[in-house]
Amino acid sequence: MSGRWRRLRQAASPFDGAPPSLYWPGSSWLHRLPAGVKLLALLAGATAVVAVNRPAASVATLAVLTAVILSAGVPLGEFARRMRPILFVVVLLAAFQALIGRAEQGLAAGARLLAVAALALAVTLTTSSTQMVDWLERALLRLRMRPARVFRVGLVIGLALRSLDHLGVVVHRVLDARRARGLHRNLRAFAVPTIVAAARFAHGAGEALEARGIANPVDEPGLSDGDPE
Amino acid sequence: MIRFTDVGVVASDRAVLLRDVSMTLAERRVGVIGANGSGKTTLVRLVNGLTAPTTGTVTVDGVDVAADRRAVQRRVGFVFHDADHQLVYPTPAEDVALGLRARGVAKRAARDAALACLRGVSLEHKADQAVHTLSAGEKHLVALCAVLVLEPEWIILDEPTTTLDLVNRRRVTEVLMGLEQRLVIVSHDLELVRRLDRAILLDAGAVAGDGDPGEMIDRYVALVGAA
Repeated sequence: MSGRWRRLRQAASPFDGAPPSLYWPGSSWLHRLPAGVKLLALLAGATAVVAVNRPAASVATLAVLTAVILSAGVPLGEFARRMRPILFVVVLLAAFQALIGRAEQGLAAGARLLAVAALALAVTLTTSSTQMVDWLERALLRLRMRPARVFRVGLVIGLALRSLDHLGVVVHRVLDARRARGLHRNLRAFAVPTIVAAARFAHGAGEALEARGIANPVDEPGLSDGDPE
Repeated sequence: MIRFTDVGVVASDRAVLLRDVSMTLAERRVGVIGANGSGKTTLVRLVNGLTAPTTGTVTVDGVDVAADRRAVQRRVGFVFHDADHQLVYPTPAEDVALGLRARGVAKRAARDAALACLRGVSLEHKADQAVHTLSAGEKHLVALCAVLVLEPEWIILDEPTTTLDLVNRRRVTEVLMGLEQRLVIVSHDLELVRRLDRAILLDAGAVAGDGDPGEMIDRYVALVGAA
């Protein structure tokens, strides 16, 4: 690892102790677009990219989506950072395909994957968990699910999202603590505190729900006037 | 009022956490002090029904906690020591609205009430921010809002300021002192306890003192010094 990359990795992040969320807060046209419309666009776009199966179309989609994401106020660096893990997979995929003499197909598959990932990112970067859960609850109500059940589905999703956020913070802290103790590659020094912290969070959250009378709500939760979409 | 009658709590490993506690809490702000492991948290958990007494009874405004926990939970809000664990939804607005929605309040009305409560503690601008990006003091205030919005008559707070820096401690203390609800505060923050109406001193699971906060703090300091 070069010195520059090491310094970058060790530099204090603006979220010190708290990794950023998937959501990039904003009030752009893309942020204001209803979650249901964005999810439908994601489904339609991904289906089209896979069905058309032309590298030029995938590259064009990627270019358009990059412009769309930038127009929503997401910095190019942030977009690139989110795409990096996918890019890694694409490079591996393309290299493997090239090795077996299918370089063209490898590039086509990589371009498709990048286009679909950019589509998904356009949705997650500009749609908050609140909007996502609201949309899901409205959809379930339209499917005539009982409000109490819909509330529970929303509760489970909300809890899962919050747990993931918390787990991200825990992992960040445990890795820091492991580094501070000089146990850079010690799996146990990572796994044990992470599992213990996750279990403590689960226990604490359960008690908090219990104390607020939410664990088994007796009333029919009010879901009647969700935001119109 | 909150009444403890001959209350004892024994853990599953037979450790005695509380013994022979009998008292009535009727003051607006009551503090509970004592060393770690003295039974402070166990005492206040009994009030919300989070811990059941092994012997004796606990009543809140005449309602037996063991007999009707639901009714008691509507009267008693509980703010935990670790706000991180109390906030179970990704954003402050969602978390504060959650309790109202579970009580049947319509979604938009619940959000409006949550925003109003967050505005009351100067956190409206962070209503839709991820909870894990808030400071410790802000998380404590959001956890308090999640309880306040349900309009309980009593609020139990387990060490609301202990882990906070001076600025956040002052901020949370001022919010607490401005509340209309009756408060029972477990705390190691003796400056906060000094501002309350009454203090209970616990030692090894028993009440070692009960009365004026200043006197109880002096007795606590003497007890620690003698140990």
